[in-house]
Amino acid sequence: MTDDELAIIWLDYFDFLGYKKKKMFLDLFLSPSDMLYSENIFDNASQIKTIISSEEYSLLIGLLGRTFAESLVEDMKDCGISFTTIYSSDYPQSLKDIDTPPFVIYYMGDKSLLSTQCLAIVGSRHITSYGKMVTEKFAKALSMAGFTIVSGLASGVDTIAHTVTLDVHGKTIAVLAGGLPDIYPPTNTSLAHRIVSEGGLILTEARPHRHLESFLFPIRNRIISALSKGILITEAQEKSGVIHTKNYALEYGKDVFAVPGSIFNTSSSGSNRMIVNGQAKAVIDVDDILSEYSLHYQPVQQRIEIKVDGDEGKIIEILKSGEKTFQEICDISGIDAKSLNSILTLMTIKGEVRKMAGNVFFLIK
Amino acid sequence: MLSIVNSFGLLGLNGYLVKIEIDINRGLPAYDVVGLADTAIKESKERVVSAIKNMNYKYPIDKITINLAPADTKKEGSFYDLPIALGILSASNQINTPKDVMSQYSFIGELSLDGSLRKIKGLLPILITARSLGIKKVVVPYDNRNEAGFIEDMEIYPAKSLEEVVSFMNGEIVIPPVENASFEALKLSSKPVGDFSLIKGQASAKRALEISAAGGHNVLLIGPPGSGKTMLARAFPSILPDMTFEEALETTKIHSVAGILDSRVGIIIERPFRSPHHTTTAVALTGGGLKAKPGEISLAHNGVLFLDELPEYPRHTIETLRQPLEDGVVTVARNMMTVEYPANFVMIASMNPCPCGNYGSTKRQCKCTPQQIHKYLDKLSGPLMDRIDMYIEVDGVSYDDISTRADEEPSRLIKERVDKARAVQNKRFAGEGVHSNSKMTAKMMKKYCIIDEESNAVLQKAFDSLNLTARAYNRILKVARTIADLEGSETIKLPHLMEAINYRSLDEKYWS
Repeated sequence: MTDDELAIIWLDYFDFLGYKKKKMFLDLFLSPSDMLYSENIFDNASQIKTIISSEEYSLLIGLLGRTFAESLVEDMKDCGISFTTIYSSDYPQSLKDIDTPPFVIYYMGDKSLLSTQCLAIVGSRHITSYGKMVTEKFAKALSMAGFTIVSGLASGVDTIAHTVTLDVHGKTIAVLAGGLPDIYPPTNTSLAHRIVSEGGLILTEARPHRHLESFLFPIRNRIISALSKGILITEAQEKSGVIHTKNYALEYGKDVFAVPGSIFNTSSSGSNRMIVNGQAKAVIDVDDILSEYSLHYQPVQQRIEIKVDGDEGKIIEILKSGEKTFQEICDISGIDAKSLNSILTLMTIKGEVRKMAGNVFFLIK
Repeated sequence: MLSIVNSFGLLGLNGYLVKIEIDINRGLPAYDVVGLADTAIKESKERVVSAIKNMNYKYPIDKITINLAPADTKKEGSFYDLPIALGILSASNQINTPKDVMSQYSFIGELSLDGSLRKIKGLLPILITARSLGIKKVVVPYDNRNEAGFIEDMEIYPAKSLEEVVSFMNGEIVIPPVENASFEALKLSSKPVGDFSLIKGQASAKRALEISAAGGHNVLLIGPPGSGKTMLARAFPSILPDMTFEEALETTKIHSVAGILDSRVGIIIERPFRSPHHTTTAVALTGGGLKAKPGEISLAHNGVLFLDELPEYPRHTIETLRQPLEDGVVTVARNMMTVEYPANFVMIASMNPCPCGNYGSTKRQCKCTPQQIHKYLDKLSGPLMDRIDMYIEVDGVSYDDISTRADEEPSRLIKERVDKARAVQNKRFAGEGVHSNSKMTAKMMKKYCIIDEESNAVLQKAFDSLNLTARAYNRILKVARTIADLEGSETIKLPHLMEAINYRSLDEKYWS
């Protein structure tokens, strides 16, 4: 570990220094490693005090020096957290390319994923069954086509994107807003562990144990955009953190894809609006994305061969015109409830139809 | 002078003989009750004194000592009024019945101040005890006569007032004993409240409830508000098999003790349907209180316990159901007594998929946050869900469905199928101590729930693709057994299994 790396880790410890202040701070020194020597700090005291308040200054000089910086590194080791800094040789190129590259990336898991082809799948925390289906479909296909799926480990779309990717043994990166090893939301702690243990990566710009603050979420979104070749928005409301991700992606020249939703449903209003504004390319199939990258995905058919009578075909015909409740299928087909129950269950197991809350069935193509 | 009168006490659902000894001596006028009597008995003095005076008998101005034997058992209730009054009259020579005749009779009844007899609680269990003790003749309040009609081999005399009892004992008048009522005839007159033909659509939920009725399976109805969950549950008793006389007697006993028995009929003919509100307390549900009264789950014995909006119940309240659901009895232990009440019921619970009710709906939008939904579902514990065999999703109903649908199958036809399936089960479990598929033990399941290789392979696939939990396995097999019974099939076939799996397919969506 170089002194520059150690120095930037030390600087990163101070939460009161925002990105700009850190940059100003660094500019005061010839080399970042100079910060490790207290006399250099004292020499620049007057200039430092123009950046930060005197209370913050006294806090800072209380924790001066190499020993404290090394204790920070030691603590990370104990927690199983690795890091790479802007001065490290292994710092990912995709982050270097943006105007505000994070000074330090703290991570757990397989860092080599950062150099793979990444695609972000993002969307609302508050998800409808439609959004869930869309996310599942795209996450599965895109990860099987070879993309590393990047998302933010939030509830809703993010959770599904990560989970589905892991389920098909794909690679996934979770970009967190808060500091490791704490996971937010806590309900996703086990998912985070799963990502790490199944060859994925979780990373964050926030120093370990950093207290979660709301402004960290939007700035986290720039990392998601920066890491990915493109971002896919599966379902988003008009007011959503996804807007930040999209704006960063547009700023960084990344591709933005959005799946259209019902115009009557406010939960798709954000993604629909992006399509209308021409900010996002509307996609209705995985190939719409893959063709942009000259990739192709051949779904592996996992059919279970179980013989059934002709009623199955009848139900498929009925469902072709859209989703139906159990009662509707029952009325149209004329099949009695008990037989219909068992046929539909069989078709569900075979992966031909799917049941949603409210006893609604629809066909899976 | 001393007199002894027979009466009864009640402990839980069991009666016991109480001998009331009354001694009248010279001394300062007094009225002392000994033998662990509660306040209602001690207050009997005022009622007894007034009743005797108002019936134009003479109340002895002497020292009266009343002993309730056995003296070490706590006694409660107001039904010792009549025997005490008779004892006083007898000890003061106002009744000239010989002692040996008097001792053949037992007396139960509360007196009003004018001397007439009032209805009492818990007569049926008392009479059942009396019969088992070989006591033949019991005098009871006239208003309780219907309850007494179902006890055979006994002479039960309904009396309207203290005067009538005295005249009867003196041989001045004749009171005809209560005639035996016919349970079968009463059954014919019964008419369940709800009927499945009144519910339009919901074929899938109706079918599921048919299976539940046939196998005694506990169910959870999940659906958006206004989809008819409550209506379905209320119609459920109409497809349950009729109660046998023994079942009816058991249930009546509990209702009699709780004091909610309809005195015009005197016996419970229809399976009880209890729906305690979600503000109910754990004690009200399981039974207890100072006097260890039966709770809602015991009142639902041999019937249905309906818990509407299950997640709204305080968690610790519904957790108390776990043990009774398993054992079919609940033991209520209180300071003075430990009482066991039967509590063998089918539980029907209903809930919305989320606080606003539209989670997962394609038509309406859910407004709940993920945390709210999580919190809502989290109120149902795994162990409780484990005791529910079937999760039934109720369709969201559109207006067309309600207005345009043709006639639906009436409950009567569904009930016929249920009865057949129950008959199969009664034959299968004869002498095994269980009566329905839902109560099968692991050993019985090995014997009766055999599935062939093909079905087993499909079941395996189902576990993978539907993400079922291991605990779902036994539930699926039990329900499949009931479906096979409904079909009249000896073995569990693939379609039966498929249908049973359907009732667990919610596992993934809500509780994974």
